[in-house]
Amino acid sequence: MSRICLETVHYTHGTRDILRGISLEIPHASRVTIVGPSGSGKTTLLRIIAGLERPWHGRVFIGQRLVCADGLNLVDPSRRGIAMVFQDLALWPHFTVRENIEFGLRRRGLTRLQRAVRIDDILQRMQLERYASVFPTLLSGGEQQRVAIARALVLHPAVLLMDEPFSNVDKVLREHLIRQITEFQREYDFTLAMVTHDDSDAVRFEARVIGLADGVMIPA
Amino acid sequence: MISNPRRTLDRSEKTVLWLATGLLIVVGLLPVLAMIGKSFLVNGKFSLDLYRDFLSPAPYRKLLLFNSVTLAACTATASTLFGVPLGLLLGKTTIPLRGLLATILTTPLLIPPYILATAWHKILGSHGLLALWLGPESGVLTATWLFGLPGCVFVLSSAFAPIVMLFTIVQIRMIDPRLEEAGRLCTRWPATLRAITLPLMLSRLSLPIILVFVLALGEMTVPSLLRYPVLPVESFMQFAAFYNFGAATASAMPLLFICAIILYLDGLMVNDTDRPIRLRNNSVLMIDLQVWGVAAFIVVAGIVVLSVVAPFFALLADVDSPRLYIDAFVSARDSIVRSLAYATAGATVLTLVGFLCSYIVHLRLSPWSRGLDFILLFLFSLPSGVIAIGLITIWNTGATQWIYSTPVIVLFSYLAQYSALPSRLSQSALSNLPPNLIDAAKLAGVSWFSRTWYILLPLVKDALLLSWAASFIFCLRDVGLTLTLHPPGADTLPVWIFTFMPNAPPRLISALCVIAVVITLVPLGLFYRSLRRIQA
Repeated sequence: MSRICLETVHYTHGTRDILRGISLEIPHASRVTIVGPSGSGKTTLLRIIAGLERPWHGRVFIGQRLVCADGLNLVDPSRRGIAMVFQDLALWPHFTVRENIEFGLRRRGLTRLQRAVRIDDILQRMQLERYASVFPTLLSGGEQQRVAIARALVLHPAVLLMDEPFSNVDKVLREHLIRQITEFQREYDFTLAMVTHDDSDAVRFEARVIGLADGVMIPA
Repeated sequence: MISNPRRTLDRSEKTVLWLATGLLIVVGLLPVLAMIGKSFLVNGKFSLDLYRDFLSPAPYRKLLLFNSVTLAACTATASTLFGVPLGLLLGKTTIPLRGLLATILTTPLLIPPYILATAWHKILGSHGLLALWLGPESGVLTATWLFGLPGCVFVLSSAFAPIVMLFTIVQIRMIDPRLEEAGRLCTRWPATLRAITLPLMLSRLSLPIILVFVLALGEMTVPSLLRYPVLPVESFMQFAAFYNFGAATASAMPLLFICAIILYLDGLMVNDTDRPIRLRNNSVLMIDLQVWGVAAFIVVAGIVVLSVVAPFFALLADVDSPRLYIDAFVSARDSIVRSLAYATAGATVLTLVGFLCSYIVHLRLSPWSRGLDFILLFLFSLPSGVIAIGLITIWNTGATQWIYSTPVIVLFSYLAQYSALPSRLSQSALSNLPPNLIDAAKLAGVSWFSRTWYILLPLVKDALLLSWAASFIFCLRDVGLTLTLHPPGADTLPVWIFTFMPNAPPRLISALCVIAVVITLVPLGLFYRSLRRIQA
């Protein structure tokens, strides 16, 4: 089970309140899109779920596990079963596409053969086979975006977080990626939370919409 | 900033940039070329004797060459082994008081290395503090260790390890935290450091390692104090004691070739397709050491005590009366004033020329921009003895005595050797400016001077101030250039202490060393305070 539950999460940066008492529950294997204006705290919310930021107050549950409570990360980000697609993609420039995708798998104790099967599958699904040995800096924006999504999906995570995942891709590719991600979710039953500026993404994903403004949840 | 080799230049831009390049060629490259040219002449006739000697050197010179390279390689290795972990601990973790620890650890870099050697002699010498506490046998043992390769490597690496440490801290700041966060979602910190942080950083660490290597290769003062025979000492001896210009050149030439080869190899390794590692975030993802923070603090504090506090304590302990400080100050007053004056003038000229060179190199204003960058690095990497002999070759003539017999020749030597430093610092600032910033002003019809004065300089002023401070330190701590080139009666404090050392009472030398440390740290402290006030 990979339900996400936040209880009165409060996050401050300097003197500014980024999140003010957010309480939220995302059921297991559901899809949620978080929308809101720039600076409303959408990305911070994802980063808190991932364990990359610690809230000042409040509790975070992933499944039944309490992963964060009152300013303390109780479970390391690498142990939460979470994969994330960053807004700026964060592809490791010194690794090839294949190595970028394989890095997380190596840490999961899979055999070389198991890794190869998973990587070949995701490369094929994302139409990246011919770029396997290319460094990501040599790819176009859309290709890099696909690598970032492939890197997250290959881990078969319990929770997939995506921060503006379709900002660099055209309409056709966007449809293709949404189809692939939805298919993956059906196969592997993960919970999906996505930050987006584009309301139509929520419609395409058939996802529940959560609105954020000034650090509080608003009806979407 | 967009680099464009086919960029159009206006007349004033061309004139100023040509002047800066020309000045650098006249004071830096030409003397070295003249020295190489002169190495083909023996008694006024063309001869390859020097190169025959170079290719099949006498056993003693072979030993000197071997010692020089061994010392440089061991110092670079030790500095890397200490500097990288220290840089990681101080730049990447939540170790308590990391700013203070980093500042204290940087202190040995700011002062002439021979002061450290003198201080360690007070501790490890046969009559040093350790012998006083543990008995004369231990003093003999430690003195045997200090006077030789291990002692030289120890002193020089405690002086130069801060270069690697500071560079590591800077490189850590260059790594986009998102890259590490993406790794942290898959694995814990040790594996993230091993697979992501270190590989991204290490590819760029060749520069400080090479810098330490060439600084140790050209170092003359520490090996001469600790009696370890190397080529720079031999070169200086041949020149200063015997005025044997040919022998001095013969000793300097291998150093010149080694530096050229190393820079060439480094140039092959680093190319334009070097991967960008900074994406956009400016923060550093820190490793929370939690309970290990105290243990790490104890280890780093131990290194601080060993490498900085102990030697300075030894110098202070040696000066048993405040009267000695007064005597030392009175005897060296003129040299102190000259040190500060030369360093201030040198830093100002270096900052100006360095900035103009960085402008040419960064904007690639001509096909030879990369060549200019190579010349700057090459001159910086040369042992000071090579530059000094080159300058003497070209400027010690009847017609140029108005330069050679004045402190201008010392300024020329600073310009020749240290221009790479401000140039590199300015280049890094220029590379952070938004593209087409200058072109927008150019299209609006603003002149080059106005563009530079009103747009460029305000935007890179922090880098220029940093360039000035770094140049000031290098000029102030210089011994090799000033010792060889200063006009009679116009020495600096480090030179005065070094030449006075064999004949002066040791306690007076200790007091002078303390004064040398103080006159370096006080102006820098004041500079830092004013900088903070300006920025506030």
